[in-house]
This record gives sequence, C-alpha cells and structure tokens, in this order.
Amino acid sequence: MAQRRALNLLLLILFSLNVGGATALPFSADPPSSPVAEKTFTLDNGLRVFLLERHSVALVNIVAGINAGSRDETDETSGLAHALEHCLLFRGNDLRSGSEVARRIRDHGAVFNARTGQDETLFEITLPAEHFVFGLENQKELLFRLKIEETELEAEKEVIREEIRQIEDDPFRLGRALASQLLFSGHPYGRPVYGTPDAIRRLTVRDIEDFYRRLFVPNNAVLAVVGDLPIAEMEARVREVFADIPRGPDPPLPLPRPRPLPKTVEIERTMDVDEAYLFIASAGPDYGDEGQYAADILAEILGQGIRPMLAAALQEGRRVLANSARMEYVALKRAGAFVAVLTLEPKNLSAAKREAIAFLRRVRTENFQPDDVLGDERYFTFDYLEAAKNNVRFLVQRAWESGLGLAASVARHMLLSTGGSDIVYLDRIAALTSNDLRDAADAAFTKDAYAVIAIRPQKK
Amino acid sequence: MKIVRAFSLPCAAAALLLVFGAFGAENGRPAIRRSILPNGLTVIAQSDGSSAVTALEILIRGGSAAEPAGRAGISHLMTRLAVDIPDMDVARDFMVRALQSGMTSRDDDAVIHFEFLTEFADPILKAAVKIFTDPLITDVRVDRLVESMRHQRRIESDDALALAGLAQREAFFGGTGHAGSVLGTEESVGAIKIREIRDFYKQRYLAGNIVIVVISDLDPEPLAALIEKHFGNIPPGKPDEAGSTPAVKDPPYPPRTIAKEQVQSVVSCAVPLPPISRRNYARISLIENILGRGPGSRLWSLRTEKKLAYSVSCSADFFRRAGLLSAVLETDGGKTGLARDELAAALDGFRENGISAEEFEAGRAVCGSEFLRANETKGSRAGTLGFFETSGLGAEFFDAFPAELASLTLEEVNAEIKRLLDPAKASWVVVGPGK
Repeated sequence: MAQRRALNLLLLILFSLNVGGATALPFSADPPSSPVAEKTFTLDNGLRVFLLERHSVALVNIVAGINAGSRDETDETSGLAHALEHCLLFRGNDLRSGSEVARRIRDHGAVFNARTGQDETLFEITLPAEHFVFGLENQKELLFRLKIEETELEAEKEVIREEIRQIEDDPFRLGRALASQLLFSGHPYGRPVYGTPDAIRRLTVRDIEDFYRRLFVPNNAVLAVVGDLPIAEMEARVREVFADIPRGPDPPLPLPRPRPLPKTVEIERTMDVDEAYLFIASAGPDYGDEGQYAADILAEILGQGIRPMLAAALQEGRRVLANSARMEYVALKRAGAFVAVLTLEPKNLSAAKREAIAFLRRVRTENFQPDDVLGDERYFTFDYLEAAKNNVRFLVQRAWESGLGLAASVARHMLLSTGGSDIVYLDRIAALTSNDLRDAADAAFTKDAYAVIAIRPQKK
Repeated sequence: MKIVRAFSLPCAAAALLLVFGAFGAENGRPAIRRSILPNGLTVIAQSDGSSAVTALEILIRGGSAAEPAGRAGISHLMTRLAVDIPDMDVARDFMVRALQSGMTSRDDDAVIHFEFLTEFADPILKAAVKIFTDPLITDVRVDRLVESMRHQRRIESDDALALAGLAQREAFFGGTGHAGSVLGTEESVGAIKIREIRDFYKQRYLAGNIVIVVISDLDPEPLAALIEKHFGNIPPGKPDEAGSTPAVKDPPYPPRTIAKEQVQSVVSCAVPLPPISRRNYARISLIENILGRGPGSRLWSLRTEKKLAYSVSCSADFFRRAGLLSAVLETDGGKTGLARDELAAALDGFRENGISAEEFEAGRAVCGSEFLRANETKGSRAGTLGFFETSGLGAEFFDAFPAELASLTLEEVNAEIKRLLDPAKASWVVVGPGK
C-alpha cells in the first residue's frame, strides 16, 4: 500500500518535473522492485514532511522548500528572494560563518545547493546516510537562523550581478527569461527571478529580514527526505530536530492569475552569436488546473522525442526553417506557459516565426492518433498520443532512479499543489483523448497573444 | 572494498560466452558482470531493479583522436549515421516505444546511448542494431548530417566556455586528434568522401572493437540472452591499434585571447595531465574536487571573498594518453585582468602550500559521496562504466574507485599538486570583450 501511495505521489511529481505526462493503461503501474516505504505527516508547528525509504545507494537527500519566491517581491525589491537564498546558503547564520558552514558540509561528505523560482525556494543537500542528523541540523540552521551582515550582503550582491551577466551572455537562458517576463508582464511572475541590477543595488538588510520573517516559517515550508535509512528512524530524527521551531505568521494568500496578453508582443536582441535563437511563448494552464494534464501531453507531442510535430512542421522536405525545435511547458502555481525554443539560421528568423505561429494556430485541428482519421490515412498517421503516454511512463520510471531528483520534485509538488494527495495522475491522463489535446491547443495557441523573443547575430 | 571477480558456471543463456565474471556483488549493489561474446564483443551488464528502464551504451573504440589526418569530424559523422533512422516506419516504432537516444564522439571512443522501457527492449534493439550494423551511407544522408554538424558548430562557437576549452586543447594537443572540435571544421568535414566513411565503418565497427554496457531490471540470464541475441552477429574482428598519439606539446604555451563581444570574460587556466591510470584518476579527481568543486573548495574564495565570479570551477578531462585539468571562472569583462591575477595567485598558493590533512579527509569524503550520487541513475552509471572500460581502467574500477580513493596519501596528493600545477606548464586563455 505504501508503495502504491509513493507511486501516486511520483506521478504527481511529473508536474514538478515539467516532463509532460500521461499513459494509456493497461501498462503496469507497479513501482520498481527495490523496497520503498513512504510517509507524509505535519509537525505541530506546521512543517509538512515527506519521507521515502530506499536503499539503492548509501546516501540521504534532504530538500527543504519554502513557499516563497520572486512572486512575493515588489518592483522595488526584485531579486530579493534569490539574494536571500544566496545569503542563507553562502553567508552563514547566527551560529557560524559562511566559510564554516561550507567546511562542515565538506567534512561530512555532503554536497549542497539551492534554487529560487517564482513560487518557491528549494535548499538541497545530499550526504552519506550515516550523517543524516547533521544534514537535518544543517538545513534547520540554513532556513531558520538567518543573520546577515551588511558587508556580507554587499559582497553577495556582486556575485549576483555576475550571475545576471552570465545569463545575459547565454542565448538560451536569456531567451527563456525574457519570454517569461514578457508573457507575464505587469504581474509578479513577470519580474526576473534574479532581479534587476538596480533593484539588487538598492536591497538592504532590512528588506531581506522583513521578507524572511514573514515567509521563512515552518508553517510555510516543507521537507522532503529520500534516503537509505529506516523510515521510523527518519521520522524520529526529523521530529527531534524540527519540532522546536515556533510557528510563524500565516502564509500569504495566493496571487491573482496574470491577465492574458492583449496581443502578440515581440522583443529582438542582438548578441555576438552565429546562430539565431527564437522563443515563442503563450499562456497555459497553471499547476492546479485540470487542463494541465493535456498540456503536459501536448508539449510532449509538439516538442519532445524523436519526431516532434513542431520540428516536423519547420523541416518539411528541403525547406528547413529551424535546425532544432523544442516545446516546453512550465506550470507555476497561478499561471502556466508553453515555450517553443528554436535554433536556426539568422536568415530564416522571420519565416520561422511566421510558420511556427501559423502551425501552433493549426494544432487544434491536428490528428494525434490513427483513430482520428479514416481509411488508408490511418496507416500514415503517427500515434503521437500513445507515444507521449509511453514517454511519460518512461520518465516516471526513470524518476525513481535519482534520490535527489525525487526529493526536489516532491518538495516542489507539496508547495505548489492545492489539492490533496489522493489524485491519481495516471487515471486523469488515461482518460485524455485527441479532442482534449485540441481543446488545450485551442486555449493556448489560437489567440493572437504570443510573447516572441528573437536573438540574432550582431553585425560584425 | 575489494574487487570480487568470481567466475561462475555459465548459465544456459550465456553458454556461448567465452568469459563470464561478476564483481561488486559484495558491496550490497547488484553485481556488474563482464562477458565476451564469441564474436569478440565485450559486454558489461548489471541487473538493477530500481526502475523498469534499460540503459544501454554502445562504445566504439577509437574516437576523434584516431581520425585520419584532415578528416576531423568523421567519427562523429559515422556515429550519427549509425543511429540515423532509415524510414518512417522505424521512426514510428521508436517514437511509440518512447526510445531515448543520443550519441557523442569523444577522444578515445564514440558512444551511442539508449534508454527505454524494458518491456520494449526486444523490438527496439532489433531495429536499432539493424541500423547500427547496416547503416545507410548515402549522399543525401551525409549531406543532411553535415548540415546538422554545421549548425552544431555554430552553437558551439556561440558558447564562450566551449571556445575556451577548444583553445586549451589546441595549446597542448594542436596538430593531433585531441585538438579541435569533435564536429570537425567546415574544411575537414567537407573533405570527407562517402568511400572514406564506409572504410571508417568497416575498420572500426567490428565486434572486437565494441563494448556494450547494459543496466536493466531484467535478471542476469535473460539480460545476457537479450544482448547475445541482438549483438552476437556483429562482424568479428578488431582494427589495428591506432597509432600512438604524439605527446603533449612542450611548454611554453603562449597566453591566448579570443575576442567575443559579450558582458563577461571566461578566464581559463589549464595544465596537461599524464596518461590515465587508476591511481591518476583517483588522485586527480580528488585534486579537482578540493580545488574547485563548490563551496568550501579552494577557488571558492574567488567568488565569496574576491567577488569576481558567480561560476568558478575546476574540471578534469581524461583521455587514454593524456588529459587536461582546467580552472575556469566567468567574470565581468572589466575585471578580466584582476580575475586572471587572482586565479593565478590562488593556483600558486594551492601549489606552494598544498592541502592540509583536514582538507584531504574532507575531499575524500565529498569525492566518494559525489561519485555515488553521480552514478545513481542507470544512464549515468552506464556512462561511467563505459568510460572506465574504453579508457583502459576497466569497468571493474567502478567498484574499486572507493578503495583507490581511500588508499591515497596526503603526501602523494601534495606531490602531485606540486608537479601538476607548475606555472611553466600552464596555459592561459581568455574569451571575452575587448582586446
């Protein structure tokens, strides 16, 4: 029974992975053969905990997640959540300096990292299972013992400015960031997660402490542990370490959803590149939306795998408008986005943009499986729907292999999900039909409301 | 931890195997088994029930370092052809069965990687091995792939880090197959004739030159039978050992600046590595980790204290006969000179003072757990096993690595640091704005 619950949770995790997903039963939905046990509970202070016992390697992965991200900033404090993550991770706390934290982590054979998103901030650590208690205590200090010195904040600001510069030099990261900012312009999701250089410069210790006190509380946090330890021991240690943190203010209310773009908007950038890069984004369902199931599958069909439809549309015969074409679907708590990512010869930018958007508008009339057509045409029609479902089944199975990946995905799901944990992802997906995909395409692609980012080589 | 090499009774499915051995079973993980098929093909297999997925790598020895003169890119091109789907029916089958595939050409081998749901193993391997053993090498296909490689080269040249890496290879290995992109150049790829590709295939795609690594939830016997069934008919034979690659160029290595109009500069310092051996691999992996793998490593202060970079790291690139160790940071273009000086000072300090006993112990602990984490998934583990096998370390080294790491001494590591990081043997490359 525990195995079945764990599997269901994993299937839900697909949302977190943004891998798309579905499957037409009756394939085996059994979890892998290695023994697993799973438990979910909430401490008195509100901290929600997920534990998964598995024994593939002698490691334990601990991911602490906070229900806070760039959406909780203002225009004046853009980049604060990310700066706070940096300070917590690298600049120490009220018990020890940043260098001491790093040294202790290495002494225990641990590797750690963190990432900030629009909705959430995740802190990850992987270490030998024998050091589990150290890992828990480290995460507790990290999240709940903030102390920032002015000098440390100023030093970290410069590191963040370097991170922003790095993004500006990377056409893929820059394009995706700009597409998101343009699509959700005017909404908190439209702010850059990394902030702007001006806002970063203005950030004060006071700003960060105010944000931290409001949001970094156990009743606004989750803890996901996947590791090579008996589940009873994991539970006992988690309760010992985290029970004494006092409950904090209630979590903030959810944001309103972003307003749809009124029309297509475009940005063009030049860089010192030889290839051109094109990003076409449109709004999609959010994390809790029923339409997310179809969106997962649609993105898979349009832009993943051996013969994605979008690439096929742009590479017909000898007319190759794009050298590569992917479709990604990102689900946030209160919004979602489809993002097509194309690489192409600069001379094809206009034609590729025109053709890609024309194709996306046509998707609602496409056939996705042989049953959609009659007669001999059935033979020539790819079974995109079945392929996508099998691909998701593969991804679900593969997700079992990485302990850290599992822990991070579960943590994100716990933070973003608004429903209970009894949803059976497979059942929802199994019921999807070609018509559901057409409806999803109709909702996402037929309005003239795309955010388009073109990056072309600068003149030399 | 010691290597276990137990020769067991051949089971029915593996009756034709010439060699059958297992290692690693005593450490609690599923045993890794080595066998050699009658046609001479080496198989490294592991049964692992952690998922219903099979990961399979086909490694063809002799990569870009062993390409014919003036034909850089032919190894990559041939490997692309060996996985190029011949018609829509096969594409449809692969697609519906959710096959994940990829390929790459490296210095000492070419690698084809497959992952799939194990329930589809038989039809997928039947079709994939047919392509592999009888690739369609035609003008139309070659032209299409050459165009694709042109596109890949443009993306490679758009990446300042990749440019810096290529420049470092040129410094140490210029004129050999270890220099330049595995994608070749416009000229070298353009010069490749269809006949040359076919000859390359006939010489290299022979069972005695191929290693299969497979990790699956199938039990050992059916897994052995599956591999035997699909790979047992690859033509036997083994190419002549590729001529020895010339030694690393002698220093000095003139500093090189590559202009790229962007915000940041990539500042890279690299030193050549000795030929790979188990001891060298363990020693240099540890040095790489202590020097520049994340918070607490030596170069980390360039980020936290000197505020020069967001990304600062060290990485080792191993080949059979050489390799290179690179320390790299990405900094604002205006700080390029300062970053170079600070990186040089950090490397000098590392060389002069060596590491303490505490750093040594912590480094071994992190290196060991990072090895476990990095090889947790079947795909990554198959990659490591394949690399160990074709690089000459042997797949058995996968289980022997922790013991090798544990047997290192502080003195030998400090001596290696001193020897490796000799400033006279270092090459400096900057890719970034301005002069």
